[in-house]
Amino acid sequence: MLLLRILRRIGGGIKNFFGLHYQPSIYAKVILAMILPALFSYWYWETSLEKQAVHEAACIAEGRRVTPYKLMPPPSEMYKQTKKYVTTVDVRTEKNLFEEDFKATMTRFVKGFGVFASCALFIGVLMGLFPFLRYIINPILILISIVPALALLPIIYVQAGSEEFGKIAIIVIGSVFLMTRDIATITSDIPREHITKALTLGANPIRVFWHVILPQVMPRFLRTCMIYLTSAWLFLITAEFTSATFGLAARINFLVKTSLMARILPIALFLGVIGLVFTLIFMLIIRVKYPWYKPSKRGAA
Amino acid sequence: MSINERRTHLRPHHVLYAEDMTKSYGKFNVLADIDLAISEGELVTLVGPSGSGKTTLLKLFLGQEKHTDGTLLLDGEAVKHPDPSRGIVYQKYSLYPHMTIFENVMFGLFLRDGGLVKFLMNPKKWWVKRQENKAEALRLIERVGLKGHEEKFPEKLSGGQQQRVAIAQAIIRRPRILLMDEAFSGLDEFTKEDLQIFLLGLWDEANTGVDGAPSTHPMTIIFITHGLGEAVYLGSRVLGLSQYVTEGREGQFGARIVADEGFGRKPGDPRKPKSPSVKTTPEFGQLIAYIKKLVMRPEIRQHVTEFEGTHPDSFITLTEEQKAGGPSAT
Repeated sequence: MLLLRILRRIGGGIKNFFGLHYQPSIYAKVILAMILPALFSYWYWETSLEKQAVHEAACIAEGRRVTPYKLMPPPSEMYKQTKKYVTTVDVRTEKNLFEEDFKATMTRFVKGFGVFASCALFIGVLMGLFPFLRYIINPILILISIVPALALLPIIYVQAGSEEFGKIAIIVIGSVFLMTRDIATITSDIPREHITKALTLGANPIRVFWHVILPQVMPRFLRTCMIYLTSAWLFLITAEFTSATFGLAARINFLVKTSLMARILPIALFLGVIGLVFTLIFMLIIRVKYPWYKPSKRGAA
Repeated sequence: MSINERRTHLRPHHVLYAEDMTKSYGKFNVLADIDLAISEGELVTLVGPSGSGKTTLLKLFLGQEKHTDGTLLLDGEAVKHPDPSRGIVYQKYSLYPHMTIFENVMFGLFLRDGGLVKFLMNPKKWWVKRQENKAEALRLIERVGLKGHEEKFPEKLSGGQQQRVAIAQAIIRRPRILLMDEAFSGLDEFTKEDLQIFLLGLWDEANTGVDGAPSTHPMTIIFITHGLGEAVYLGSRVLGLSQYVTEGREGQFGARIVADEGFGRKPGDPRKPKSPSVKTTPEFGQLIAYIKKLVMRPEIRQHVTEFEGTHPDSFITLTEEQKAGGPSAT
């Protein structure tokens, strides 16, 4: 009955809710978005407590010291481990371990993301504007972007080394080619009429670029950045997994050997939160700086 | 007057002049042997079916594309790249979505007088110009009936309002020629009629000087449409464009002007249509049928005629030939 009442409140009736034309209110959207995470959290809570109880019983039965269940730790254990992680001081550097990891990861991410997004914007806009550049660059971009970036990993390490430069190179190479193509398409989709019109109003090519093209590309570029955040994270984590000493993903890699899920899970969750924060920042910039921009409902940027 | 006879009357002093102008894409002729002379202050409507080459002709006038053969002159000079001497209003995409209505209208003046370099060279002059330009843009926005909408983005306006802004944006730099590419297509009939009256008013204003003196900034309008009714109602002269095979040049395809009907309507002329009700007159319908016949059956002959309108309520007077429904096939 309670479920029915909720459905009626958020959906305007059962029939409407399950119908093809259901249009939820903003509150309904929030409630609907929370359903799966809430169910998952509940399931995890219950199951982890159950597993812990079974594990404790087994320890007692076998006469071993009672330890937390490693594979599915209860939230209390995760909290304990997280607290320990954020307060631990690294004996080698005498600095806070979490701070060092966070700083290393963010530096790599910002540098890598900044480099590939800037390159993609610059080259993509030029490709979209000037057909001759598009015909020269596009074939090679298609060719390179077909090769999975991870397959290039050994080559990148050999050529760029496994130090910071190599890690940033992985993030850049992993995304720059596809993103450049996307930006080129976005730019070439700007109606040619806009360019002709600007010329009839007295613009030169530089002012066409500055006043007509760039302002229209920017919100779409930021939206594309939101999409490529995931790919940037993926390559960053890969780079840290394979050769880093510090970094959130590098920490996970060290912890995998100990199967200490109580610390791994919060770090993984934290990585997700960082990604979410970046997404929200991009959304906020688009909304505030480009209020005229309405993203296509058909999925295009 | 045959087209050859007429050709001898063509002079390069016309605001827009074309002689034997051809446009081809590879082996495909889009336009063939276009002969045309448009005088200052005319409101020429260019009508023709889809694919007849109307937009290609507009692109040539605009300088966006180059003609393959023949002559095309703008004020006696070869047409070059798009520049402020020709304004353009498209059916869509005339306005910049990232600019407000004010910014859209102001854009032409900003490009002329704004910019960092001009500011650094003479900040005081830059500031004075900016204030003048702002006042001009606001005056034009008021003229197109959109006062109070200055800070809105184009998407917040209706289709008709957007086209009004697009016209204001295009004319703010006082172009010699205003090109309009199916500018009112896609609008509902009520809005379309409203805009037609508005455009006639603007044309009249631009080409009528104070106290009978010649206008200081006369504006020629070339209006492309596929609507015959719209073409006849708006135009002081209607040009029909149609694909056909040239007589004596078998196998040479390409669109050419098959109808050239002048109505003798001048800006400030009291005989100009005061009301769209002229569209309901029998003469209007007969004239549409007549031009339609010329466009649909261009092989009959190329008809070039000009006549003065004398009808008390409208600009339309039909010749005996037009009353008979057009030239007959021989």
